[in-house]
Amino acid sequence: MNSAAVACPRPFPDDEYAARLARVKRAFEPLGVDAVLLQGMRNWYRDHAIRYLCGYDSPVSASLLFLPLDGGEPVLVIGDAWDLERARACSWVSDVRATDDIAATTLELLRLRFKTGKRLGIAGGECMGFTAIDVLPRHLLAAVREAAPAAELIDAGSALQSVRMIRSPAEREMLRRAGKLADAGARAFFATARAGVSERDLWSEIWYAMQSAGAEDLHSSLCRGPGSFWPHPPADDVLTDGDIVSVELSPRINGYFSQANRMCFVGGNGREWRELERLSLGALDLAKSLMKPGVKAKDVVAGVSARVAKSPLATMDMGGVHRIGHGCGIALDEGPYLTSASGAELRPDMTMALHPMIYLPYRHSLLMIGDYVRITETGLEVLTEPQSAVPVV
Amino acid sequence: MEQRVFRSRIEALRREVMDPCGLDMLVAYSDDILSAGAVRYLTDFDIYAMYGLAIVPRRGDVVLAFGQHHSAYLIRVKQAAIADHYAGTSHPGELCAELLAELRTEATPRVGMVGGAHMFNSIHAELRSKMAGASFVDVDREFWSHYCASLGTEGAEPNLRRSAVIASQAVAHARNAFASGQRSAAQIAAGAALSARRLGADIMNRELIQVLCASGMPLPENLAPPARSPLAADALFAIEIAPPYAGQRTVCGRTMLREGAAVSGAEELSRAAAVHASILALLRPGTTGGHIVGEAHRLARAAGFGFSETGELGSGIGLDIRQAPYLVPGDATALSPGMALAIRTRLKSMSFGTIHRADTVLVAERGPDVLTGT
Repeated sequence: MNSAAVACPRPFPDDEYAARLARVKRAFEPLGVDAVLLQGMRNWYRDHAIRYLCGYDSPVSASLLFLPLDGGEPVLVIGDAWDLERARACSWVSDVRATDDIAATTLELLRLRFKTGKRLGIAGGECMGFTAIDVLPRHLLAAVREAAPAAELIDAGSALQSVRMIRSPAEREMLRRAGKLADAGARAFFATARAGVSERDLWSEIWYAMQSAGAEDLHSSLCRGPGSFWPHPPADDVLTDGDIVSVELSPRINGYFSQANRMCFVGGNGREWRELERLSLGALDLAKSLMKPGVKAKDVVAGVSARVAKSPLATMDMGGVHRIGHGCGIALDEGPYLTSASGAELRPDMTMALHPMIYLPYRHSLLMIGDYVRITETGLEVLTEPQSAVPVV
Repeated sequence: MEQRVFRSRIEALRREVMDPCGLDMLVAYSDDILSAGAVRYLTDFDIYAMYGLAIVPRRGDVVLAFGQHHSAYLIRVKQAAIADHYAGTSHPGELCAELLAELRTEATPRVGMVGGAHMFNSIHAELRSKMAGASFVDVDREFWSHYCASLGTEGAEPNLRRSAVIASQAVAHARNAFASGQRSAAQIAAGAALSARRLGADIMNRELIQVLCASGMPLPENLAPPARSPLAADALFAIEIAPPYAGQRTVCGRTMLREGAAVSGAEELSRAAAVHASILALLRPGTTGGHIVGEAHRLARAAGFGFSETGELGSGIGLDIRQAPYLVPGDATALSPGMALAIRTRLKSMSFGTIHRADTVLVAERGPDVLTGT
């Protein structure tokens, strides 16, 4: 196979994937599983498990990776026959199969390769409180049950996530590139945002800038208020004098997301804006100063909340939870979660979107400025170009 | 979607799908923002928040259930979608059971599912558990037949046509960018997508416009996501763009060669375009998919081209990028008025490799209506 003939050069060398696989297999050992079935889906970028382990991006249809833990060869099953050549070039997996009926192929595969298996791990696709087993589609679960009626299904998603939240040197380099793409989006944001511009046009220019700089996909949302207190997809509404506009820029390259949050004020009151600028930038700076290895997420959140609580204008209490960010990398939104309820301990080479969410009840608006950061041995590396002031446009 | 269209679609669904199937409730499901399918058709919901479940009882309120990360999602869903009641929940079973109980059905209640095969099994198990006395049946085939028959009368066709205009204009933009020397497929795709968004293509948190490309000499048989590597000066370039507009998607694809390239190929590309046009002309009511594929092979051979043996010649398109019917050898599905089809012709040329061309066609009583012309 000549991988140069197709448009997916392998994003990492094979030894990077070999090292990941070895770490993940070690993490699966305590689960006592005979094999793991990993799923890759599209919505909300639920392709992370397969992308992490073998590099394939599931561009149109769902995919599956069957990973035996007895030393047997893994199998990658994709849903698009037309993408078979590229899938083989993208991935180190030698057994790549295309199918029109992923359930039937899963059934056949498990009958052949999981004959004596007793415990089958399920990973991939987990999100927003749903485990990998929860989100396994009904027709795939039926295939698994038919092929291995006595097998116990074990959630292997958490074990996989615990491995991948610590970034390798190669991943860190990729994430620095992703950070620069977010910077390109930020420049487009500040160049475009002004009264009369629609959310659609603003988003379009930001996306074009990031895509032109090399982003393969993105996640983007914004708050534009008063009346908008949670990031939402862009609409056709226009920016208006008095708005606080904050955008969340999450470009993706070779499967890896970064995330930066940038903010501006549209026209309006200079004195109020200066106060809100100090509040938002101060909260972010404080969060950065508190983030270091060994610290618990909730302790960082508590420190930032205490600072914000001194302002008569703002609170971080949004439905009982205070949020300042989350893990971000091969998945857009993953652990560790930086919330007031999270006892997760920060560890070197975790990468995170750090963005204190500050609610302004008097405006029903949100202040949200953030950077993409990596925990180092001693503190923090900021991977996006920090915003030093909040401009009035 | 206007309230009037919503009501009209729900009443038509009850009359033409639920009554004939004897359903007390229809549950439409999707968790894919690129294929919102029946949920989009019924409620205009774009599956922003994880999953969407349109719950239509035989009478009474239509409920839209969706995954909810924060109560603020409810605000956005109410702005984007239409239903009688909105419920952000990971556990919609209780709600379905409540709606079913309100019907006071004497016999065993019957619940039809659209998109149920792909449903999160946790949601499926909960529906089964909470509606333990009901029988469940997949009614995808019945729903999509109804959808095709309703396309022209229930407000979807104008959106399909607008999507086609956007797709055609985006391909024209790509052609200009390629002619003016843009360096990579990714750059050309970025400009084409921007053009589509400016013309009104749907936008969301992530890229919804699907763009596939190929470049080289000879041109490969399959398209792929746009690459960032530089295009060779004399390379052929193929691009296929599928932008959604109000949830309706069409596809337009062309193969192009730079003017002044050392290789001369205008005549061969024109001949390929003529074969493609002849294939589109076959899309008439009553014609079967298998017959069209057979004729396409014959037309290609007569014009001196080989025909790609892998994959399908085309499929339905609209709410999903690929939906029934599927145009493959031996397919016995007869085309009917109202079907929208994506036809992807891949002609094999000795000198150029595979020449790609794609268009979206609406099957009308009088014959094919090609929506994506450039």
